Amino acid sequence: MDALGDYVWPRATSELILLPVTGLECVGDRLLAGEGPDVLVYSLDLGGHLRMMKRVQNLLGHYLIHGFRVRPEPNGDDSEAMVAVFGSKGLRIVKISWGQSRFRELWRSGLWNMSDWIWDVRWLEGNVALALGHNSVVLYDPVIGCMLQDVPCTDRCTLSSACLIGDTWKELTIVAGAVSNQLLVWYPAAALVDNKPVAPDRRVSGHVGVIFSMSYLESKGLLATASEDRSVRIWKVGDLRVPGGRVQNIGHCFGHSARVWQVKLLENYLISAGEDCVCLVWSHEGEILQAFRGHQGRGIRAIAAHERQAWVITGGDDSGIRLWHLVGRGYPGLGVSALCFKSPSRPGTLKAVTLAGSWRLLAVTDTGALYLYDLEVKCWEQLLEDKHFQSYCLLEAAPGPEGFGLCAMANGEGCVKVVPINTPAAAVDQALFHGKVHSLSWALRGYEELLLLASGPGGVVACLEISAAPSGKAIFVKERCQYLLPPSKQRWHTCSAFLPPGDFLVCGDRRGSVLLFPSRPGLLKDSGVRGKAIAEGPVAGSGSGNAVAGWGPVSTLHSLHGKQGVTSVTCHGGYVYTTGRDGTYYQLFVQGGQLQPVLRQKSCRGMNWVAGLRMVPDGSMVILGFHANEFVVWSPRSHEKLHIINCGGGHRSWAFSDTEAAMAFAYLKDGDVMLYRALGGCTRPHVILREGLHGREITCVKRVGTITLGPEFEVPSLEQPDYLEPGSEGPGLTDIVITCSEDTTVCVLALPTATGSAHALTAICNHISSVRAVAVWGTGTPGGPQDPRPGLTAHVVSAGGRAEMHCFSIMVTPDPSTPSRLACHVMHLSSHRLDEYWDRQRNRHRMVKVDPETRYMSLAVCELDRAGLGPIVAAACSDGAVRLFLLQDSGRILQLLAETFHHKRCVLKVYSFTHEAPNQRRRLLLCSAATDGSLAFWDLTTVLDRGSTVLEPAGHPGLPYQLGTPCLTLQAHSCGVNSLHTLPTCEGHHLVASGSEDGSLHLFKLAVEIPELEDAVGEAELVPQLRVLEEYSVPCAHAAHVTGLKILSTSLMVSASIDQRLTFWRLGHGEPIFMNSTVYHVPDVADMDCWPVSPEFGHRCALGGQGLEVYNWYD
Amino acid sequence: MGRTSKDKRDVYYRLAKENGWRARSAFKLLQLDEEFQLFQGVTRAVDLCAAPGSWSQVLSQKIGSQGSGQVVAVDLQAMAPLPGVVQIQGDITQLSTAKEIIQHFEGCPADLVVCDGAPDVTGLHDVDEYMQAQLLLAALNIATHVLKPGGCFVAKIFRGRDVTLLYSQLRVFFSNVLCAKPRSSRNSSIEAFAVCQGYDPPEGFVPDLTRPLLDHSYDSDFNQLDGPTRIIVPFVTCGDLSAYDSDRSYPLDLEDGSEYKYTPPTQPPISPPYQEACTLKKKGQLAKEIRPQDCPISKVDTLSQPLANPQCHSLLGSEMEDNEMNYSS
Repeated sequence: MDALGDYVWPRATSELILLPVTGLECVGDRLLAGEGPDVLVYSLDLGGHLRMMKRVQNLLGHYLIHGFRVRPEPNGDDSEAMVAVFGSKGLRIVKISWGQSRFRELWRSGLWNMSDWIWDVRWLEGNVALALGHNSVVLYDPVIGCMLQDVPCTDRCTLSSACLIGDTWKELTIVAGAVSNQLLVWYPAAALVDNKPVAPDRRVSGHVGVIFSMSYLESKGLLATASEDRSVRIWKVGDLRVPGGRVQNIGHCFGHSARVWQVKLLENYLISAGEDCVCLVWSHEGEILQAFRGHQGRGIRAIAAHERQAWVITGGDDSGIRLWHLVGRGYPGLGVSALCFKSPSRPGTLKAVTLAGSWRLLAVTDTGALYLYDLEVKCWEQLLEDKHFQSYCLLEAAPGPEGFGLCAMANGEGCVKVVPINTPAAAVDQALFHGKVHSLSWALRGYEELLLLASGPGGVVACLEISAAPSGKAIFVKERCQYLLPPSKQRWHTCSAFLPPGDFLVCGDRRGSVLLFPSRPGLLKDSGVRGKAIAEGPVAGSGSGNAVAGWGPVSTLHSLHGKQGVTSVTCHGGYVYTTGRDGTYYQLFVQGGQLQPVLRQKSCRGMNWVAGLRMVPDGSMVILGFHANEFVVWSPRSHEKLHIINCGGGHRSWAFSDTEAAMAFAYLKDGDVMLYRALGGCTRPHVILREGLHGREITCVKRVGTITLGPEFEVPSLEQPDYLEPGSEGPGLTDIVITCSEDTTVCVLALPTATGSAHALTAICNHISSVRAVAVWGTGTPGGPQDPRPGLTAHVVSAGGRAEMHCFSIMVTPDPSTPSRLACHVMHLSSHRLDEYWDRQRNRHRMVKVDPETRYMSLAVCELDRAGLGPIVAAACSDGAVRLFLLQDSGRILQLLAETFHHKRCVLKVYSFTHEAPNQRRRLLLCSAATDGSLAFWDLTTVLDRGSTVLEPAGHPGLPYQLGTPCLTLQAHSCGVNSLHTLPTCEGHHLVASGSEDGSLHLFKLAVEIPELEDAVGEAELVPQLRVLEEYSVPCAHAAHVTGLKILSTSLMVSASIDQRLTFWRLGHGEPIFMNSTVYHVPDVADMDCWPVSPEFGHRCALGGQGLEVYNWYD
Repeated sequence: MGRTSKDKRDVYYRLAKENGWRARSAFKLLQLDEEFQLFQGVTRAVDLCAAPGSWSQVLSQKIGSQGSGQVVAVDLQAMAPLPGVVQIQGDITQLSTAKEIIQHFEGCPADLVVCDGAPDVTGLHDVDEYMQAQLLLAALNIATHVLKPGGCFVAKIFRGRDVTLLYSQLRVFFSNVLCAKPRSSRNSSIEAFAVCQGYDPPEGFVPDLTRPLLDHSYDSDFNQLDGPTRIIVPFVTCGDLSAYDSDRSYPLDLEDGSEYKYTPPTQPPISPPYQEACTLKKKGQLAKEIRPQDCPISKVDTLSQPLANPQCHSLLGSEMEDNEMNYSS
């Protein structure tokens, strides 16, 4: 039957889910993770090669997995198991085996639906007992799916958690967490007649909030409970299966700073995890032994432990999974020790400390004495004493794995001393300035070139070349040149590094500027780069007392890090990284001899003093900084504080060094040198099994384009070790999608079509508030249209809370070294904030300041066909305005052009489209929609015409233009419009569809009529007439907000709603006709994007909300 | 972010404070009444899950002022007293609570039962939706004991995946079920209100609080999981368009010419569950992990301990006995 076929096709199937990880369980050497209805299987046995093996799709239908219960195998076979998978009201049993490193699903039962929520499941030989939502227990045969017994408690209160104990029905005990915050203990087998309610044996109170999780340790007779009141309680309960036993609260543990979601008792430990994203390891006595931090977002939802390996595994709301090592108290091989400097034989007080490599420490006293401490030999040795270096002395050891065996000292009289540590007698003194040396820094290029930079009075930086005699006994110090810093109050440099290949030096200064100097300015005279020698007044120079010429910077980023100064510069992988006292670090890029900022990144919250940045062997970076009075080594990749040292803050003298084997941090405290050492360098043994995506809701999803990777870049299929899906060979198509989120980040994702996996390529963290919308334009390939290379480039504009907008360019290129085989380079181009814009106006005192609480709700990019004019970005604003921004210079200039307060209500959506008709000019149209359900159409082409009168000039100069009246307004819905889309039809009309908060769909045909030239004699303006031709409404299309809507063709439309249905509608026969719908798993879907996949694939669709789900269907 | 930033973002939050309402939700009931004339002819009203009490405030103002009107507010938590409102601190799943309500009405059933209760959301959507549904069904269950035939029931719902199951359950008891959203409820929120008019329980229905009302499940005929037939009740937007837009950010000086003045919250929460944890945190008494620098290096340098071999701990002992604990058998 034809009609029937129509209703079945197309059918969307889920391809990929990224949801909070709500269930975790170790089975043998495998880890099962429940994500939505899917089970992810990880192998844990490959000694450090933990990897995902398989995704078992859709095990629990439309339910989400909340737990696994493994049936104890009677025959002792440890490569096979029966697992009860449950969540919400669903239960399914699967039999799995993992022998011969191959994971197989041997059998699965039907999906059994219960009448009520399942809080706990327990295997009782072949059957299972279920603890249900209103305090009842059910005995169930999971193989054939029938209920054997159903026993309610006399108190049918709603539960928030439950725990079943016992191995037979006879001894089955339930501990139920009631909404009254009490624990109810009762025995289902006490019911003599079926269905007869059983009275609770004991009621235990203590918590002042709802109990979210419980764990019972039979061997010690302990019960642990986790609660809304942010505490974990440990109860001594003895054998709970014995009625009437005494319950004693032996521990009330407050350690979490938010609600505690999960608790688990192990033989010697207690693990708890909660909304604060922290997993705590406690002793049974209530002492915190370890804290695992690193998950993002709204908490840790699941925990599991592998007792034999001493692993704790956590699953987060951010859909990340991490594995942590339980290692007793503290970290292995770490600690702080005092180096016992104070001694009658060593007079004076310590002034400065430095580390030369990882095993030699140098310190200088106020008597001008330099001491060496060998960390292996563990004793102090005086190297030299020079009274010229009394009271004021700078000390810096040269970089390099063993510190090059050199250190430099500088004093208040302009003198610098370079000391070979092994032969201190060969130290070389050099008088540089007539005044204080403000700072010293080293710059090392491979093993070939070593420079020492010393800042003197008046912003003069002396550049000294250090070389050693072949014998190694003598060193030579030669002044190569002098640089001049830009004027400022505190005019000295703070750090320096060679920019590979070595023609330039990057320096940071105390004023927060980053500067680029030629490393050999003398050789650059005739080259293209202009190294300019600047002569400045009478500055105390090196030799003569007269005016001195210094080389100025060839490029400057003025005050990049603000007034507190730059703290470090590092060059790595083609980029320059700078850190500053403003709590940020920048990624920079040198192009054509000019410094260009790429991205600004913030370190962890509260760390306002970023002191340095290191690349660690696994390719990621770590950030060094001071967080209040602590020194912190922080990993931006894992969001984890790898090392925390309570040193008292960064104002004391400190030094840091790291090698693969060990890291060391030394600081002065109470007249002594304190040393912290950690084996294994900056890394920690914890493993990220899966990276998290966004910590909060995704607010917008946009597909950028597709990259085709040749077979040389074949993405390893995640199923490979176990099972290779046929047909996954061939060119790998990867979709690049941008998501933005309430967690203030914008993320670039790669979604390969073949493997059903997702890779986060980059996160952009420039926003200070939630990001609500992104728009993409100018998609191309690297190398441009002339020289297309594999990859993808695009411009992105993102906007969100606090009226903030940022513009970036992204470039995705093949990179065989990453798991996704792709690398993404981001360049920040421009930013805009409404209130900042007002602050810059000259006559701002006469104007009302724009409310900084305005949120941008939606963005649309309108690409103009006029050459030289960048695209227009239209923004829907919460203060009731539609604002138009002009992007110029390929995104580097972002300006507010015009605005309208036509809607007078929060504008929720904007959408732009073009009208093209033969022999007519291409017209840009914009549709905006607000919370009152009205749509307004604007003709942007007329607006942008030069000399147009449509744009009313603002009341005050400097204010944006006013957009006149809309071409057409229409009341489409009774309340807020949450989705909007248009499609041109073949007759030259446009289909306009909108979806609303009330669950309704609205669809109409829009005709755009341009008046004939004769009608508008002599007038340049041809305002198009917009008319509604056919109009249809589907009132109860969905049960909640329609937040995603796409007209795929003139005969097919797809809608997505917060009621978690993806519905297809047939168009073209009057009112849209329901075809079919699919229940998806992402709650609170805020946006949807669909795109065709060529040619055999049909469409792909990404839904973003509290998670991300990708669907596909064949057309 | 200053203390005024929430006032700028949320005009109803601010208006509620300025008008002495305990929460912004007061406007939701006012706007629902505007649309449905909920209070017309109502003399006995019950507010379930009343804390912090803004709906009770509205009820007492609209009904209590009519002289003969009576308002009973029920909540599990303690609530600051309100003039003209009888308060019951009790569990709405208990029969005793229903009896107490009737007692206050001198044996007469109520004309209106409202419930604006919501559990503290956990962020896990399916759990939150389930808990909200159970709260609504518990409210419905107690309403079957106290509501007069033809009476009206208004309760908060979350319009999530399974909301059609709730609609089908409500349809069993009421002749007219609508889904209403006041304009003071934000667009971004999934909350809405089920306005159920004409209480008409099925023939032979005996109210029984000892059995919870369970939510319906999907069937293949009338309420399909993914088919075209679903029970979606009509949607009504309440409050006229001239009302303030809850999604819009307004400047502090509103257009009506009134000058902005910061108002502190009317009624701060009474003893929230996290109170003790916050007090401890303020005093710096939350348990902290033991940092390596707090131990001498020689001790820390020892290798990792096997899981089965605990170290000796000194802190906290069994003296940590709890006084509040009580148990009964």
